[in-house]
Amino acid sequence: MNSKRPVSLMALVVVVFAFMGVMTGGVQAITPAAERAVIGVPQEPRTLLPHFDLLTLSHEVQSLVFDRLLTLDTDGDYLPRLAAVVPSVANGGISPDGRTYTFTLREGVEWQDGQPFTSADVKFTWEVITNPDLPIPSRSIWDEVVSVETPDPYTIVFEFAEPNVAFLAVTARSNAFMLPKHLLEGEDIVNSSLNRNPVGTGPFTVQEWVSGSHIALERNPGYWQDDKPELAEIVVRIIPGTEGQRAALQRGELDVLLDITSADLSFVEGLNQYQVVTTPTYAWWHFWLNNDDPVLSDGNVRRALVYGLDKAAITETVMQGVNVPLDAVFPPAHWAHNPDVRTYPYDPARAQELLEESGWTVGADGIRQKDGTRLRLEVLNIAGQAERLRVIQIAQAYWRDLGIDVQVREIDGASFPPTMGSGDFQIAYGWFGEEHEPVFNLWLGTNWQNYDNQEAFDLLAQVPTTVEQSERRALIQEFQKLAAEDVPTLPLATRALLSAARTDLQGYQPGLAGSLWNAADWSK
Amino acid sequence: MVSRYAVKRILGTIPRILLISFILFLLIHLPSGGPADIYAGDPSASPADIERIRELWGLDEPLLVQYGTWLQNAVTGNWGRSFVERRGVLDVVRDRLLNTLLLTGTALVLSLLAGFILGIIGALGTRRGTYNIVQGLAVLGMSIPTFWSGALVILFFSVYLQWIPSGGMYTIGASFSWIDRLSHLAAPAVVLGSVYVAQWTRYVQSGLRQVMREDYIRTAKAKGIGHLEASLKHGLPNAAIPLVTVLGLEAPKLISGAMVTEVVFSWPGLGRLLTDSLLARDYPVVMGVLMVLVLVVVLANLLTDFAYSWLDPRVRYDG
Repeated sequence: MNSKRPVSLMALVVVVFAFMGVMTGGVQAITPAAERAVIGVPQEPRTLLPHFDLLTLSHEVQSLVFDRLLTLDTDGDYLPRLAAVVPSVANGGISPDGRTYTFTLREGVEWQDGQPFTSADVKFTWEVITNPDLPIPSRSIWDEVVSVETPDPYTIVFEFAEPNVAFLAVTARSNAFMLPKHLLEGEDIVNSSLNRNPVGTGPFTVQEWVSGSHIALERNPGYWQDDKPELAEIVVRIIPGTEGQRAALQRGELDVLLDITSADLSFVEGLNQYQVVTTPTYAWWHFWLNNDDPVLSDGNVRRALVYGLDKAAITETVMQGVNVPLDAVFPPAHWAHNPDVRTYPYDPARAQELLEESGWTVGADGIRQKDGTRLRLEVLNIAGQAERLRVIQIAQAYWRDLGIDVQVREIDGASFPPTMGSGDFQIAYGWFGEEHEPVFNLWLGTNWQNYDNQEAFDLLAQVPTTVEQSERRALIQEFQKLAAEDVPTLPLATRALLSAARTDLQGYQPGLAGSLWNAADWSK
Repeated sequence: MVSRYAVKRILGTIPRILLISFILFLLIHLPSGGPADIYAGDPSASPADIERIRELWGLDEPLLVQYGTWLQNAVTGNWGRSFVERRGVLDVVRDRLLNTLLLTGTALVLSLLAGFILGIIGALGTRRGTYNIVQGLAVLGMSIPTFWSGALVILFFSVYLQWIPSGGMYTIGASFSWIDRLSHLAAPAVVLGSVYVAQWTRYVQSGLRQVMREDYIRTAKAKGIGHLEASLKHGLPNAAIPLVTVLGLEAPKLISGAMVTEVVFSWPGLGRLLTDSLLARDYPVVMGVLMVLVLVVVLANLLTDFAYSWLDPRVRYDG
């Protein structure tokens, strides 16, 4: 027997791979690369029928197929889409009392099957969203509309019982897409075939959706914007693993890769054909502090946690400077952010003082205790993301220096909300995203931190009916001041989105309306 | 009568499948959080809406009632609808099942091929060196986890040499080509199969070594048959019997074990569907995938039993 046989077996595998390399060198997509964009995504969209899902990636792909009445540009200003103009008090679109919204629709818009888009579709969309028998998770504000009138095919009037300032923002929400009445009325909407084969008014139509692999879309020739979209084809490719994502970038297979992490930064920056695109959002990273917890109900302990944490050490190391430290409970990208709240610069000595003041003294093992109870706090985290855990580990070390025994408990994403809702946590790490016109779900909705300050909540309660934006800003800014005093949650940092984009892709401008909102304008 | 035995065996699996389905149903409902909870925390979803959806989906019913409904539908062929994809579970599973079978089937064939070749070399090799190299390779393949070997294969063959694509089942948007399909299949199949080469090699090698000492081989040799012919013609079929048992036990694992390989190579298979569905608490799909795995296990066990009688004429069940 020849002892070289196993080695030659390995050689055979190599030869087979090489043969394939030679043979597949010529296998290319039929559409020329200049008219085609391939977008890598880490997760599969759940459904392409709008309103039934809140996964951002579902909304991203839906935005290629559907349109909203309005959208937000990258500066946070409204742009008309299916509406011909942005309603305002000045142009008569919003009544002076803030109760009535009149949208004039763009004429000549067609669904992808050739049927005209009219005010009846808008009214139907509202009926679907507010139908209590449909499992639609985000109905807020839509369900406060008391009547919808369609005086003619291109005019629709929404009426509220009380002034409602958030409605424009609601029509520009990331999932506020208009549905085709003629295809869904009287149908089993939940199980409609439009879930996989949607028909919208948007720039691209779904060609095929191969489960777990990709969604291929092609240019809608009847799109209402003349000469758009520029690209003939968009492929959304699902690449769940980091190795696959990186290899696809290195081989130049992708034009855009969404949702990269700070750990990918230096890698992407090292590639010639790609750049990192940073998108500010209305979300921020924070530590929920359970204000009902026996230990954390003490404001001194909560403030000690902030003083004892060097936020910049986290943003500059783990987050690689992508995010910046935050003191207020609204991020700077949001128009209502208050830059002038009480700050807690890193000051471990002050933190120690506050703990001493509350009777927590250092015990023999270096951990503080009071009345025989050790100062032990547990941080709840969603498992599976390296960056999150590293942030917590740094915080753990800083708080350990104050004499606090900090433990980490990891659970999966779906278990997180019920665990938080049941109050079975002390500290929890995560992010919260506010809307353009905030509905304050963090405070008046879930309130997982069990914040209890009636004065602060009264301020928020006035916001929805305050028509003048500057007055709303003043209310929300005052709220941020109170929250900064009370520290009901511990704001850590802003939360920007990162993506990798080919340098020769023109027009890629991820923003507040999503990453693909202006894909009709992309060109190569 | 073999056929009566077969019918008996097949009928005997039914209570087992029912029991397993019940246990699985309870297990997947153990972790807190349901399919509606993935919406919580979004600024636009109110807690009341999440509660409303939970009721709409019947998730507020007692677990036993939910299982009863599931079972009643399942036996009539209705496996429910995915909360996530809004289509029938059978459609969801079917889209992925063939992909996984293609990957695991190829991996199994490749690993068996390599296992037999290496095993025979190892068993018949007279030199110490041959034996050591075969052992070394076998242990190496078994010890390297697929997420690591997969990453290495991608790095070397896809990125550095540019021979194979970065992942997926075929070049998206290109016209069909066998060679394109093969180039996508080769790497994940080799990586997934490499783990099992070691095992097969060991069984073939030790089985063959043992069999070669048996009297009938000596008899065959005495009649003038050469060493190689005696091993391959008379030794190998007998050495393969223990392997068949292991194969029956391991083949289902191959499918569930493909999960990691599917993620690394972006292969749209069942394993990825299972993890995604578990994280989204898409109970009907989770149950669908798990029941497919259960059926594969049961089927593999049956086939193992039947294969015995085919491989070894002494084994008969008509007693």
